[in-house]
Amino acid sequence: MDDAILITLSGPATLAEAPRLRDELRDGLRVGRNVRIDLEASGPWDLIGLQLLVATAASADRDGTSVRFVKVPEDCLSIADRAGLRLWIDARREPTVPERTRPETPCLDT
Amino acid sequence: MSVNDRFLTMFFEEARELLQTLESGLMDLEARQGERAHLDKTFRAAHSLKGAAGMVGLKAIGDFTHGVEALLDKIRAGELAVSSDLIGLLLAARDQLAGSVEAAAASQSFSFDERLRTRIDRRLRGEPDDQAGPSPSNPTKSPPPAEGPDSSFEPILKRYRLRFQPRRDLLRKGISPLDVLDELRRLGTATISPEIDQVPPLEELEPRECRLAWSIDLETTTDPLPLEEIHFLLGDRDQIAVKSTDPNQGESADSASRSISPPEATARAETVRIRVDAEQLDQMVGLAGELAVLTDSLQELGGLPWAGRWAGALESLGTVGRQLRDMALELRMVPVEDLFARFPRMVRDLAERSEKQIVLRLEGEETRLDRAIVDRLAEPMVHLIRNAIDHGLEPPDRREAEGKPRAGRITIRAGHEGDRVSLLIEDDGRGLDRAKIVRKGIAAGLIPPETSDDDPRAVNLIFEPGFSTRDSVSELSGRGVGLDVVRDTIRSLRGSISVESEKGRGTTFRLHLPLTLALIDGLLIETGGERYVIPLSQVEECVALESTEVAFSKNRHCLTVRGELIPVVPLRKFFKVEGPEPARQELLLTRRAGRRVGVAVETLVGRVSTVIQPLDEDCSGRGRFSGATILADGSVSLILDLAAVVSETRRTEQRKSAAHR
Repeated sequence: MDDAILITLSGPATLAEAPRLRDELRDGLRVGRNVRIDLEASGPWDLIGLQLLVATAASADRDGTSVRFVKVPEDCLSIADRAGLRLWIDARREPTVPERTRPETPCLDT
Repeated sequence: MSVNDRFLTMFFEEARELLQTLESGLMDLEARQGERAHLDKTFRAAHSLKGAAGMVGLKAIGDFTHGVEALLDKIRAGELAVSSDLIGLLLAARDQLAGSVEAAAASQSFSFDERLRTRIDRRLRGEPDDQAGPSPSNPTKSPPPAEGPDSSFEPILKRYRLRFQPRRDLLRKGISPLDVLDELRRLGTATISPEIDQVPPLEELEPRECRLAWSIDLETTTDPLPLEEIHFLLGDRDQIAVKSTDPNQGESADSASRSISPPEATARAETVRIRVDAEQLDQMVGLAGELAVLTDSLQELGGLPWAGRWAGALESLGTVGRQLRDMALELRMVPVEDLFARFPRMVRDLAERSEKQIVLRLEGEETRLDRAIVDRLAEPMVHLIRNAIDHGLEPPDRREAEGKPRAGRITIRAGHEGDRVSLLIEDDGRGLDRAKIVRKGIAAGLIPPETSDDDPRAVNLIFEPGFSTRDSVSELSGRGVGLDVVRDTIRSLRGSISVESEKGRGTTFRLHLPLTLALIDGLLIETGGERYVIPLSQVEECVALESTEVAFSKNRHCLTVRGELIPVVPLRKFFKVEGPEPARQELLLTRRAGRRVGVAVETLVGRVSTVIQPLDEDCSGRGRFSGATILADGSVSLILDLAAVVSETRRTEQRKSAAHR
């Protein structure tokens, strides 16, 4: 079993897609102990989609697996806000790293 | 019906009730300016309508309601003065909303009056309403309403702890718990804590079920907590539990132990109500009535020698059957308050249009009456009130000149009189002009030329078809259409109407109605081998026919009863029964157009009290019969409408006499 794995979710994270997403997440958790879930390509979101993330965390906690959410879209965060789950998701997501910019070359007085 | 259709239907029912609450609240707003609870209730009606409209996707209705809600909120905050103009504006907006709701219910489009929207916006911005009437004498901002007797207003902060556990299939029904949480946030300051431990691991999760639950701490000045909208959205009251906590004591063990969860509180404070289909209810009343008759008819078995241990059970069955019937009948009863609620607005509008000042008094609104009667009473009562305003009440100057208060008075009173309900519509206007009624009656050939003005029968002419004393037609009434229809409607409800009037003092219409249309007190009669039930309310007197004297008048079969010549309808002839007439018959005396008419029947079997079963729409001879009933022996009997029998006979006679001419 690989120690680290990245699961990429794409498409709607809604009631209609919930069975498919549940299976993808469950299968992903089986193959890694350090799981990162990339949500950038996912959406739209609804409460059922968000509940799947909570269930994923519950599975991971039970198995001693680490789960982090990566690139959580605004749509998902907005649902989390309304559901009172914003703090919960913030605690489990990797901070979005701003695009690296070239540091300015310090000017030295000569 | 799809889930969406069901929610829309629920919305329309709810919206109509909310609009009624809004209207009655607005009507009383001026008079009850100091009452915070009244203002809150009116505000909540607008708020709930806005929320409910949004939840079923009727955004335009929600948006327009927002303006009404915002105006009421400004009044609550003391930023806007209550004035007649403002109430007029709010009522006009309410009417727009009522129109839009009905249009949506009929799947029709509706355009809101943009001028009205602009007027609301101007008021919200604190600008003068350019289309309003003259400014009130004291246009200063009104003080915020008081909570109670103390006029200083300070909102009381209430703290509630709620637990929201959605049904697992809620999302599949298209309802989002997020909407519920949003709605709770609107009520005050809400701290929402999801209970994530309720969500099982992925393997145990049925992915389309909602397993999340929430605890919500809510601080609000709204009391009581208006959860109707949320219950409406959720479709039941079971998914949200509430505990109120004392804001001063926090959640000490003591205060927690005293707190009451809402289902318990609701059970103590008010009866939980559910909506039922009126048609199903009527069917249930019919079945309960049938059961009561059948169980009654089984009682004879109890006296048989072999009945033994079943005798007690039979007796209990009879008791339960009757109780079930009575309870089912009670379910049909509604307070006349629902009917009366429309009158204040109507009187206000008509007073404005006729430039009269009117004080309306409503009494006995709690009087309960069969829903079917209440539904059909609206039209005749509206007509009588319009008549009182147009024909009865004088303009303010004239009233003043006659020593009366400038404002005319209309009183509508409901009450019980024995086993019947009486409704009175009284005005203190000019009263009926008997001389004019008699003059017009003579001219129309309705009364003999020698009739005097004080003939007590003269006032009843106002119930004759096409009779009107008005020389001109006004917007409100005077088209000679109406009071005959009013009388016919009341009669069709097995009721009666009478009028009393005194010149210069006013007019009073009295309506007497049965408590229910489902139950009938009747006379069981037999003619031509068939048994019929005749409503007792239609029979004034029974006379044995052998003691009367046969006569003919204008080719009509007549009898003299105690010196009075009365036209007679022989029921045998009506039903074309052949064979010799029995030696003795019974004459049932009824009344048509104010005059006594007799209906001759063969045998009077006795009195019955029973539940009416409606007839099918396509039943032949339906006009003659008002329903059917099951008799104690299990046989079915038709309920004969004496008024219809007399009218049909009269029409036949008129046709025959026209053919002979």
